Amino acid sequence: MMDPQLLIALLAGNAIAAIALTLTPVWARPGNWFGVRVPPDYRSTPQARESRKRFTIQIWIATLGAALVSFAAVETGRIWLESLGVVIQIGAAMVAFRAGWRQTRPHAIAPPTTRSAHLLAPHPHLPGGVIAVTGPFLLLALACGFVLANWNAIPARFPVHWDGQGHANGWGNRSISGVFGPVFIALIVLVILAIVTAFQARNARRAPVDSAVYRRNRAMLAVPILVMWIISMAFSLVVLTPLILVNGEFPIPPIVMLLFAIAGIGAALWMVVRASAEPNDAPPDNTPDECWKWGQFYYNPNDSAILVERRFGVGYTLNFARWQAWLFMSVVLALVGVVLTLAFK
Amino acid sequence: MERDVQLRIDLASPVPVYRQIVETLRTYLVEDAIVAGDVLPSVRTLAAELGVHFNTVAQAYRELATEGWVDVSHGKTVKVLERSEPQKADKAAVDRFRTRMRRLIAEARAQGIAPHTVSSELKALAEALK
Repeated sequence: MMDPQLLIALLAGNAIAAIALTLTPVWARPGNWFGVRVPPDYRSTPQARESRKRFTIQIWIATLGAALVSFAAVETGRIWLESLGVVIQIGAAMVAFRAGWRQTRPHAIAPPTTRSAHLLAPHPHLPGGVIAVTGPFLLLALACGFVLANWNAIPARFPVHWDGQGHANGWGNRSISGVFGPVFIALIVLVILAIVTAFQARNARRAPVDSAVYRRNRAMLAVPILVMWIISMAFSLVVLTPLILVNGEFPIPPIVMLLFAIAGIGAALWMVVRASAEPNDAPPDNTPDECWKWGQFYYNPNDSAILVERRFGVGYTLNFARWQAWLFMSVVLALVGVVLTLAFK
Repeated sequence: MERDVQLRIDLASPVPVYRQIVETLRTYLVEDAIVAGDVLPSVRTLAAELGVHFNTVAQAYRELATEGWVDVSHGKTVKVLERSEPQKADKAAVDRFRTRMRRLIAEARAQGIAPHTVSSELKALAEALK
């Protein structure tokens, strides 16, 4: 039987993803349009408006396809199909971006020949210090400690999953794997995010502490840290579930959980957009246009940078000509693989 | 108080990039804008921020290390050293300097800069870089 609440949630997810994807061209630096270096006022030209219009239409067509997949996922009860919808949306965005990149390339301008670096500037410090990164691990450890201390209070069998109407449809039992299984997944995700944070802090461009670039780098670092805290809180709650059930029901309504998740994702996105919109005293993007494949993937053996500013959306991307980038990708992908294996086991 | 010392290079300049780095850093070192104990960015960090190959930066640091300005022997750290007074320049060094100066002054004169301006500028710079 179709669950209307689930369908609405999935369709809302498709729509939010579509809106975010359609905004990616305008989130880029003023001198970048669809991954091509252009004059700062290019985006107000008719050509730029036309390429963005086409991009937006293509995204929404793909979203329609993703919505149909969501419908099929709910109708057939095969929720894993939803991941296909995500692939459709992201794949279509990449293809549409490539089309925009091709249309914009004839308007490219030459890169600046001057470069600069601050010799005594520090790498960006972690917002909240080391505790901001270790805190999520500690919170999870505290939750686990509390559960262990109250082990005998855990029912032999307890619900772990509920349908849209709040009826339990999945059960766990009082065992180490039954109670702490999700913690292993959370730990791996937290480790991935800690690696991303450390990698980003180490490789982000250095700048004086009173500059907008420094503030932007710190804001970018705050994003994975915020996600770490959200994941830690969510999984701490999952671990505590057997102890906080009231008559077999989860005491927090699903809508509150959903709003919490949306608020967390919204806050992370807002932080990224706000950081990108700051007055930018950054030196110009020095990466050569020809090293951007499809305007999205950076490959430049002559550039020692491992992390460079993205041209598709905001944040950073890797220089795939550097072995460190491949090592980083391999470690992250291996950890993601472990998480997916554990989640679907 | 954090000091902001910027290194600028121009890829279109006929002067090789590594030489631009050496000359700019040496100027900062002589001017005391960078002092003993300061830690300069590692070869990879500086190369990444300038968008050049790390061999270019490594070559520049090696040259400064040979002159006694920096210590690059400890892994990735590039530390500025307390440099002892260099020995008195030999005749060949003075001759090389004179040749370069002659070309520079000829360029200045060709651009209409008066001889007394050239000499006062040279004197002021020499005093400032004591």
